[in-house]
Amino acid sequence: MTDRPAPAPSPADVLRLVEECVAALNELLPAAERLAFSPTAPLYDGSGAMDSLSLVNFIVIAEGKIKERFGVDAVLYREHTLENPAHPFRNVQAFAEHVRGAVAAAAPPA
Amino acid sequence: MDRPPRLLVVSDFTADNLAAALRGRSPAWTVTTAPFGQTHQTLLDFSAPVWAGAPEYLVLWTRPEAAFPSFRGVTGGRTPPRPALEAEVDEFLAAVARAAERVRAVFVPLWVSTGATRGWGPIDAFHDHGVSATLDFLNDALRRLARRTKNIFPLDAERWLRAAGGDRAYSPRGWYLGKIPFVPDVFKRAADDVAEAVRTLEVGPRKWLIVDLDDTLWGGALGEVGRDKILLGGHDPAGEAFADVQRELAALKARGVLLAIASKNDEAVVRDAFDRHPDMVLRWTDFAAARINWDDKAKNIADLAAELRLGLNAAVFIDDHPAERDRVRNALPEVLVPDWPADPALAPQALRTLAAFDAVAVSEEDRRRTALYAEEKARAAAAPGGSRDAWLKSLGATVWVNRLNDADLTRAAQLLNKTNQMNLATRRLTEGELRAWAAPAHRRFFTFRVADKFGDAGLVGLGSVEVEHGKARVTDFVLSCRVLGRGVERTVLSVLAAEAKALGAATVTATLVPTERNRPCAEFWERESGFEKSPDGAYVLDLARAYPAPDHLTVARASA
Repeated sequence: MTDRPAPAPSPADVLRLVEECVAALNELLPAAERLAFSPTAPLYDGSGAMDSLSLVNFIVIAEGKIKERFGVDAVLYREHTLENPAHPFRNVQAFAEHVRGAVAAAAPPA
Repeated sequence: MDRPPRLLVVSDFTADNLAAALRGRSPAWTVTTAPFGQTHQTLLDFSAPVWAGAPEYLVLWTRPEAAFPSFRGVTGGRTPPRPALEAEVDEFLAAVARAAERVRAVFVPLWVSTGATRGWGPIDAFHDHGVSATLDFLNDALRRLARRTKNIFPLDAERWLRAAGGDRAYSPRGWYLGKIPFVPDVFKRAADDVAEAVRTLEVGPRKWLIVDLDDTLWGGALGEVGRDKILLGGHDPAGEAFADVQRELAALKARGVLLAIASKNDEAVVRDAFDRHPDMVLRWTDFAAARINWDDKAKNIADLAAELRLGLNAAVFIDDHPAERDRVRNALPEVLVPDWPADPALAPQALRTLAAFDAVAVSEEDRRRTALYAEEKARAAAAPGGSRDAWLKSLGATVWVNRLNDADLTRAAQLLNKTNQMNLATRRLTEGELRAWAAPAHRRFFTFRVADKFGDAGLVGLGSVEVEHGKARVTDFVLSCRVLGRGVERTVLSVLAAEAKALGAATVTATLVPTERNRPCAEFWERESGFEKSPDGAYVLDLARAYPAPDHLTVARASA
């Protein structure tokens, strides 16, 4: 074991993780409410794709998977995260970028 | 399940994930959640809207700190006065018991800490201020209530947490964001257990297990390598695992699961291995029936079902070979065919975690089931070549008749809920419902035990009659297939007819409620009951006529 931090995840790694998060959330949802997966697929954007309970589940699932995959305690939601209309939970692509940033912020300094 | 079950989930945290997982698993079920944080109110007010749908099952999942204010003292580092905690427990459990009177069953996950904690460390497990000691105290009180009430089932929430990752099963972020204390996987596992428990209550557990032999009960092909070279026991890792598989099967047999064999092998070689291999845990006599040949396994399983007179929907089939599993799944979709690990080290655990044999009660008949089938085989083998009457007489059977009592309640409810073929009305009642139904003076509910020279078949029959305005009606007529065709059917009816007459009735009627599976019952009433069929389809007996029990049986009645 070394103390060297894991290399930053690639965009493809993160997109794969987000896809797994969507799949895990879908397991909790009735068939009619399941989310699609594509870079532009909506998540929590006011269109009804995801309600607030699903958002909490999604955050918990994603933070758990980040810990498992990348070994860091990333925080994906803070008090004012949703106030900006261009918030990171609006669609898959925005969320994936948010995950990359959160992982980088949580990683120990090199 | 004729009608999809209705479940009510009551919790002091956001339990929507549990409701969603239950709906996902069983889309036809109606699952309602009580308003967040309304646990006590829901339990105390049966006029609340959530009760309007007349739920049949209640899932009551609470956090100890919410259900019992004194528990907060424990987590707050203080020792609460034990009498205060005891009073809170008594009050809460009294509310649970009242709720249990309104539903078929209440499922209460055992209380667990709702966040990772070490408590007080080494002294936590035995001191009054210890978190784990206090949880034990609460859960013991719940278990005592469950033993008394019969329809409250504590569920092992700790197992869900362990399986979902131990401390990682807690979700502090979920709690602070949405009052969800656990990760989603915990709710999925909880839903699995609740759904299996409901399924068991609705249709009964699976009753029999058919096993393959080579690479399932031992390693290697017995016919190829010979008795002494199969992997079983000894100091071989795979051999030890196979011996443990056999121990798990022996444990299932002790719980009342019937074992049978379906194997492509030579029967003489197999019997020799069971008799003479030094590390064989199971013996040939542990199996109620076997089909050892080179025929199609699906056909063999169907034959075994016919021989044992058990339904395919009560069967589980275990085979290491994916193609055999696939064949049986396709040919006999009612049979449960679980995936089976290729690595024998994982097989004992696969058996231990199989939910198919969950029980909601255990009776003496369950424990003796294999012996009962062995007696039935001996009985059939002893059937003389002469007349059926002579054979029946030779059995020397006695039927003991009892009014329903608490000692027989568990077995009676089991029989009522599990019997399909010889069942007039196919009523499904919990123990509590059955006891309540039988209580009024105008009703009589009897249990019937049968024994003969080959053994005691145990409690195998139920009959009930109710009399109103001088008219009697047979409500239940239920017999285990183990005693069919031996005159017990008419004995049950003779008892009900005599009782109806004693209660002042002039006639007794019976109305068959047809199901997909009670055709044998319909045929009995049609051809052998001796009741007249009326134009409306009911079967009627004029009680002025004598209706004796068959004279080859002795009928013994317990004093009331």
